[in-house]
Amino acid sequence: MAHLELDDHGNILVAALTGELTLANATEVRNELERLFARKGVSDVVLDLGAVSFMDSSGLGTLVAASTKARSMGRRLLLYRPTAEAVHTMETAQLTGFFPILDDEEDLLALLPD
Amino acid sequence: MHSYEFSTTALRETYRPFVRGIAATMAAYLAAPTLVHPLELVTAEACANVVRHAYPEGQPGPVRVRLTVTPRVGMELAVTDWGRGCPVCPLPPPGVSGAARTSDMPGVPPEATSGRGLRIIACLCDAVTGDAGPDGNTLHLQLAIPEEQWRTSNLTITETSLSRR
Repeated sequence: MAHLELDDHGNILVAALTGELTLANATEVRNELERLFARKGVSDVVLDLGAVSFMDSSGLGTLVAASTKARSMGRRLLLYRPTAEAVHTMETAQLTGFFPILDDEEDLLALLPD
Repeated sequence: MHSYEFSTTALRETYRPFVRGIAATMAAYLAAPTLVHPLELVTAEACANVVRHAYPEGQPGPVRVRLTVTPRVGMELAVTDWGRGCPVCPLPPPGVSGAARTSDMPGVPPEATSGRGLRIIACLCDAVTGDAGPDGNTLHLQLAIPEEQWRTSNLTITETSLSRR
């Protein structure tokens, strides 16, 4: 079971994922993200990837699926502080620019309501 | 040249610990732990393809990875399954070096949720070839590694031990 630690900021949820995002847990993470987007009043889910040590194409595929579903509902999936390795995987898969990315805490605080 | 062989049952639950073990072997040759990431990524993608496509659902079979390290030159991976191969991602034919250049591959739309594994492999490897037969379906991956990325101390030990033989 994927473990997402939640920080509730009203219409914005910050969900921190730890460990890896791969074929091993891609389906569970996708299901959890879709549950978060189904919550009433949620506009954005910010997925904190700062503690994700490894991500492969299946993990990326799950983020693409969750993001596409969110967009269809008028919501957004944002990625927060992905590691250099995760960014490299996204670049290699030619997905640079597909996800809105928050590089650091300053970016996150600018998004969150006062 | 150093050769290693790893085997496991191709399952979602087993392939990551399996690949981490291979990555640890590769990392021991490198100057910094972060340098192993592209090597671990291509190994993970190749093994994940076996998990997803090689065997019928509910009937998992074996996956074998042979790793050949040529210090100061590069590493070669041979990833073998004994199932139906990967029907949705046909292997490039044997002997065609660099056959899987990303420019030759069909594009993956940004919204696609799968199909990026082989593209990542092709992008990060210097040559990708495949063969299929009674000895299994094998994906051969070659990765050149720049000389400055190799761990110097490890090479010294290796050369000393070789010279004693």
